[in-house]
Amino acid sequence: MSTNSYDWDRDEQEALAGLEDQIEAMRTRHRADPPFELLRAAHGDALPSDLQAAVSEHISESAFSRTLAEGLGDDEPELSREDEQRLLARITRDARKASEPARTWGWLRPVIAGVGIAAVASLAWFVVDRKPVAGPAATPESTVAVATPPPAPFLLPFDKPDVKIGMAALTWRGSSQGNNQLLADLKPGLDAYRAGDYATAERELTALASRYPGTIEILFYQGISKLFLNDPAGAVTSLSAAEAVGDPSFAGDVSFYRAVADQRAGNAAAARTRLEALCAAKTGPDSQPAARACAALDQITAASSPGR
Amino acid sequence: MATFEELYRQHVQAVFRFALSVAGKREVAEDLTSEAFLALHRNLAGIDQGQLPGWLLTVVRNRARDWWRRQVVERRYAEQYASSTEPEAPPVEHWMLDCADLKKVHRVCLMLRYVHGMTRSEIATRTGLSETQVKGHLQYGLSLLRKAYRMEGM
Repeated sequence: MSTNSYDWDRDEQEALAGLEDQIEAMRTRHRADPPFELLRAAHGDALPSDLQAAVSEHISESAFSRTLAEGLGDDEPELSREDEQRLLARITRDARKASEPARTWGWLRPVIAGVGIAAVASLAWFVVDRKPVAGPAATPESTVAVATPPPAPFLLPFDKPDVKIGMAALTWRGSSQGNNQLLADLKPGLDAYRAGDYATAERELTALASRYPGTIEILFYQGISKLFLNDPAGAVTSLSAAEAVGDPSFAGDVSFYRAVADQRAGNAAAARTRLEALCAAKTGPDSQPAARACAALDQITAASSPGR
Repeated sequence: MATFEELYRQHVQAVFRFALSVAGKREVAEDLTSEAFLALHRNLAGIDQGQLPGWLLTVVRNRARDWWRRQVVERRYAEQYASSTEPEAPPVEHWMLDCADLKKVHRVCLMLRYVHGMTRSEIATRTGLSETQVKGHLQYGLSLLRKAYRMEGM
């Protein structure tokens, strides 16, 4: 609901003159109603089950909320021809992108097979041709030292976390016009993040950091973008700042990705300590990052066991 | 068998309208619509096209549930709602709900403006209408209200 409750223009004031008490009574009656978006989502049966049940029950009891839930009828907006075309182009592009890895590997398969055959042939040539034959004994210089490369350090894999917006950002009010400028300013960075353009996301979010200090969405997605940009030290800095904000709705995710960043930055001990603490909290409300932390610890253990 | 593009043209408006209604944000609605058609693109060969657009709407519904699940604000709303109590409805509320000359779009605009206290711009964002359309619907609703107030003395 807008905080700007009586921003009526002259026409509205004239039309509603004498009805102010009734308007106020209506506002009081419906102050605690679920918001319009939830009513509409519940009407489409598109809410998580517990919330769906609560909002549906409210809708069944309130004619006012039922009217809102049913929406605009024949006047529901449509996509313009241009938007329809733009969306089709986006879907086609995404579909092509999704099929690219398979195509790449398909193309690489004969190359890999060829390299394999060549390697086997070289080995065979080496074994057959370099067999000691009668003749001068091999000098030390002619022996081939085959060194096994040290195993690459194990790096914790991580998924891209979806964008979520916390309560503070959703209810941010920095202007008198009732518009949420923070959400508007976050959009370019988060859109780039969603699209996988982490360089742009990182740049856009960094540009906002001084204007909106202590905003969890900026710091968290900035940190994740840096992880994807292979800048674990930068990610540690951002996620450390995100951790200092202390937003409970992000805490588990911040801690998990901070552990990933620590490990990739070479601080495996700090990563393990953090993951252990997170894993131990798996019975709490933030169970998803905890489960991921436990799985990550298993992966680290498996990777460090002999015979890897 | 229709091609993907033919199916897109045939169903995109219904899918988008549904997505907008359940997500309440145009950019999210576009994302949901896009994901549904991407899923269709991936499964085109195995899908009974007679099940469209229901199949697409189900994809949107499931993705919308995931989206709402990620909105940390949801439970607080549920808790607020659980503690609400309602006094008697004033006559103007009955008029908003029952006036036969109001279309759904007029009712929704009036309710959001004067009961939920939204600005025209906020209503436009949440409904997907333009601000000009919102203004027009409100003006029409208020003109009817003024008439009813004069005639019936609400």
